[in-house]
Order: sequence, then structure tokens, then C-alpha cells
Amino acid sequence: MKRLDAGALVMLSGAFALWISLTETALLYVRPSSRLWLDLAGGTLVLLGLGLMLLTLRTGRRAAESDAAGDHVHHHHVGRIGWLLAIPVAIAVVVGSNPLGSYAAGRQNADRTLPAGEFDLEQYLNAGSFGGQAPALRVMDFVRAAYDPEDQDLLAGTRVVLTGFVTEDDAVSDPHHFFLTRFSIGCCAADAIAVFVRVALDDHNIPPVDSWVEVEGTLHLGPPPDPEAVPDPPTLVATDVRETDQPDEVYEYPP
Amino acid sequence: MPRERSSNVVEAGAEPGVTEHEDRVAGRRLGLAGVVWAYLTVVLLSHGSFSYLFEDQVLRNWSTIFVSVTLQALPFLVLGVVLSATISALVPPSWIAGAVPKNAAIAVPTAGIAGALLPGCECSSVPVASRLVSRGVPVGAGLTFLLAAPAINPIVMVSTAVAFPGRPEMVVARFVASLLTAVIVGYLWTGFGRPSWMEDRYVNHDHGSTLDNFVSTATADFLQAGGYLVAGAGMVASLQTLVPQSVLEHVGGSGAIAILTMAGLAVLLSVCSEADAFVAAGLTQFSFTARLVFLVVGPMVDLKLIALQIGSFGRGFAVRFAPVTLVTAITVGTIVGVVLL
Repeated sequence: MKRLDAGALVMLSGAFALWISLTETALLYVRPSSRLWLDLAGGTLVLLGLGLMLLTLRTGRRAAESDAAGDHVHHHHVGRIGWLLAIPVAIAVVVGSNPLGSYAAGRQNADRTLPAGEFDLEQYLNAGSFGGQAPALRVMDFVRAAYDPEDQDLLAGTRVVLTGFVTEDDAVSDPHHFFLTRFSIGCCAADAIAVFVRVALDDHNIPPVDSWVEVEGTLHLGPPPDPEAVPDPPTLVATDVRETDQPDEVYEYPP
Repeated sequence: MPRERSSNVVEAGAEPGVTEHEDRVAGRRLGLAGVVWAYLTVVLLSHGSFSYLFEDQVLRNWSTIFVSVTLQALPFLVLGVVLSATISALVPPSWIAGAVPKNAAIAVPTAGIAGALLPGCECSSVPVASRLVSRGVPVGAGLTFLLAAPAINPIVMVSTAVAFPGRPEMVVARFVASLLTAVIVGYLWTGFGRPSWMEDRYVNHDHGSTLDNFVSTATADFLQAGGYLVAGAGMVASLQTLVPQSVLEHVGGSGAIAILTMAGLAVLLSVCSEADAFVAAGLTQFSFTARLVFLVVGPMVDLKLIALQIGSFGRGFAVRFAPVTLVTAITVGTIVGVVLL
């Protein structure tokens, strides 16, 4: 790879990182806290690439003016492998940026591991002022509280709002059930864990798969789960299902 | 573009400048560079116009995971190459050589610790180790440094901690297993290695100004490592999107097959050590011990490292060094994983 190409490619990579990070697009791929690092990395790459191009142009002119063209113009060999850096840019622009959806959720492991973390439902309900509305819970917090023997009674008596996207509920072949699903990511979309809540509807139509919904309802207390078995997703008995826009923070981020 | 290819293959220091200069005078031909730039221009100008063609769920899923692995690793890669270029430009290798004792029994562990303190990715540690050896550092110590520097430096440790939140023992296990592997291989080479296996092909370039040296090293390291990172991200995305989950669940788990699979993946994926913890964190279907082996093997033996080692030390070296390192890393990684994780 020639030095001018190398410089331009490094600049392109930096500009790509900056473009992703300075728009909300970054949240489709990484945690919000990673954006600062993406900004710094992108800025550094733009400067490095620009610097390499300027140095090359200057050295090239000097080399062209004198016969001593053989000095260190091109001393760092870069293989063609570097061209692969153009691919993420092309992919992100051509395919577009999309959040993980029902396809990824359908491929998750059967054992429903919850993301790491803790949640104190009682403290959350007491601390927040919800303006008379049903309090909004993160999906993973709802599931954590629903599995907790101490929290689940309180949860069953409290109307809450969950936001997620719709996936099909394969286990229950009943037109009145769907899964409200939300991904939780530790670092980036490659380590996403899908968290499911089964939504039971009475008189609503099931919204289309992959559409975003706000569901208001209460936890349905089932029989105590077998501690040996993988717990089933908890069931939310819905009183209201509203279609909504995809949130900016499309995933949930455990601490 | 046959002539351009041959000029790339020639060691860069041999006839620097001349070919590039002639290329520019002769005008541009449509080589790989032309194709890539033309394609990118079309892509950027048509921004979004064709995305309706790509509503396929599989493709979208692949592209999200592919881009996210690349983006997540990018800051670490940049930090790594900037620090490595700073050291390359500002710290004279003679200073490092002077700090390493001549006696191999002491020099090997010292080099391991030195590797832990000096940040750098595997792509830069090969020429640095080669340079150290050519300046009189015992070979075993140079090789321990080669293995330790990319595996256990502070950036790698921090990124491992970030990738495995709430599991600090993963960081400890990675540090211990990698340092042990590097020291054992260094002693093995001191005891059984023969000088004739190695050819010192490293050419000391006459570098230009400090700034030129810094920018050239950082960009070259970035492109080299970034290219392999993109390849690794593509394989991770393919693995997560296309391979049926049942196959992975079958291979995954905690047995010896999982460990060997992860060691094989580490060699094939060739992800940079600054980024591999995130890849390992994503492969949740494998046991922590298997993922530890992935983290220990990856920075020490992978396809790009073998290629770099052939380039710096010769084929006779690489065909012996890589298998010995691989077996040692798998063994040590498994034992440390069983004890600590």
C-alpha cells in the first residue's frame, strides 16, 4: 500500500468512527460510555492519516527535487490487509445501521442468563416520582424482580410500563401472547443477551414482529418455579399496549 | 499491477522511494487502491439509497455485529498503536537492551516483566523483539518479550476487565497464564533452541525525523492490525449469524473439545490482543476456561503472527516456535483456568 493511500485510509477510518459516534448511530453498536473513546480514537486517526499524507507529499516533493530519492520515503511496509478497513465503512453505509432484532433474539441460547447486576424494586418504587403514571421499569429489572421471591409479590401488585420490541412466542400457540424483548449489552452488540417478558393480551391484536411497544400491566404470579429448571420468562398481564418509536438507547446497559 | 505487487514484496528498506516516485510520475493505474477508492466514492455518494435492497434479517444482523465488533475494538487499537509508536519513536532500543541482563536464567523472567510494562500489540512486538535479539539480548529473553508484550500489557489487562465486568479473576488468570507461558517458552528455547534455526532478516531502517517515525509507525501498525481486526470481526459476525446455534451449543460447553476449539479459533481469528477480550466475552456458549485459553493463545500464536515471524526470523524458526508456543499456551491456560476460574 502506498503512503498516500495509507494516509487516506487511516483518515477514512477515523472519520467513520467520528461520524458514528457523533450521531445516535453509535448506540446501535456500543454502550453510550464508549462514545467518548470513539471520539478520541476517531480524532486521533484523522490527525494521523492527515499527518502521513502531508509528510508524504512533503518528502515526495523533496525527493523529486533532488537525486537523493532513496532515503526513507517508504520505510514502513503496509500489506494489502489494511484495505479491509474500508469494508465496515461500506457495510454500514450500504446496508444501513440497524439494531439487533427478532432474528438475533431467536438465536439466543435456551438458558436465559440474566445480565449481571442488582435491582432493588422497593427502593426504586419509593424513590421515583412517576406523576401518577405507572412506573417504567427496565426489562431486565422487571425480570430480575419477577424471579426474586421477595420482590415478586410487590411487583404483582404494581402496574408498570415496559418498553421493548415484539418477537413471536413459539412456546404458546395462542393468539393472545407475544414476547416483549429487549437486548442488554455489556460492551457491544456482539455480546448482547436477549431478555424476554411474555405479554398476555385480552382484547388487543398482537403488534407486528420487530415493532416497538410500551406495555402497561402487572406481573402474573404463577406457581413457584422449579429451582433446578431454567425459569420461564415472566408473564405480564397487559392492560394497555401502545406502539412507540424505537428509543435512542436501543439496548439496556447493565452496570 | 504485477510490478506494484513485486515492489510491495521487496523488503521496504531495499529500494525505498524509487518505485513510489515512479508510480506517481507514470500516472495512476487502476490497481486495488483504485478499485477500493472508486467503490467507496459510489457507496458514500449513494448514501442509503440502496438500503432497501438489504432488508434481509440475516444480512442486517451480520452487519450490526460486524460493525459493532470493529467499533468496540477501535479505540483500544488506536491507543495501542499510539503508545507503541511513541515508544518506537522516543525510547531508543539500546536503552531497553541495556536494561535486560545478559544471563538467560535471569533475563527470561525479566523480559517477561518488561513485556508486561510495555504496551504494544503483537504486530509491533515482532520487530521489537527481533531488534532486541540482534542487539545482544539473549534469544530466549527476546522471545519471552515477544510473547509477553502483547499478551499482558496494561491496555490488554484493562480491556479484559472491561469486557468481563464483575469477573476480575479473568484478568488475574489471563496475566498469570500468559506470563507463565511466555517464560516457559523462553526457557525452552534457551535450553533446546539452535541459532541455525533463526535468520536475522530484520533490517534497521534509517528513520527520518521523530515525527515522521511516529506517524509512519502508528499508521502502519494501525492499518496492519486494523485489517486483521476487520477480518476477525467478519468471522465473529458470521459465526454468530450463520452457524446454527445448535452447532455452537454442541461444540461449546466446558469439555476438552471446547478448549481446543477456542484455541483453534484464536489462531484463525487473529484478533489483536487489545480487542480479543471483547470477542471472547461475546462467545458466551464456551466455558470461562475455554475462553481463557482463547485469550492466552491469541496474542501468542495466530495466522498473522506466524506470517510476521516468518518475515522477521525465517521459516525454520516459525515452524518450530509456533507449535511449541501453542501447546504450552493451551496447557498452561487450561491448568490456570481450572485453578482460578
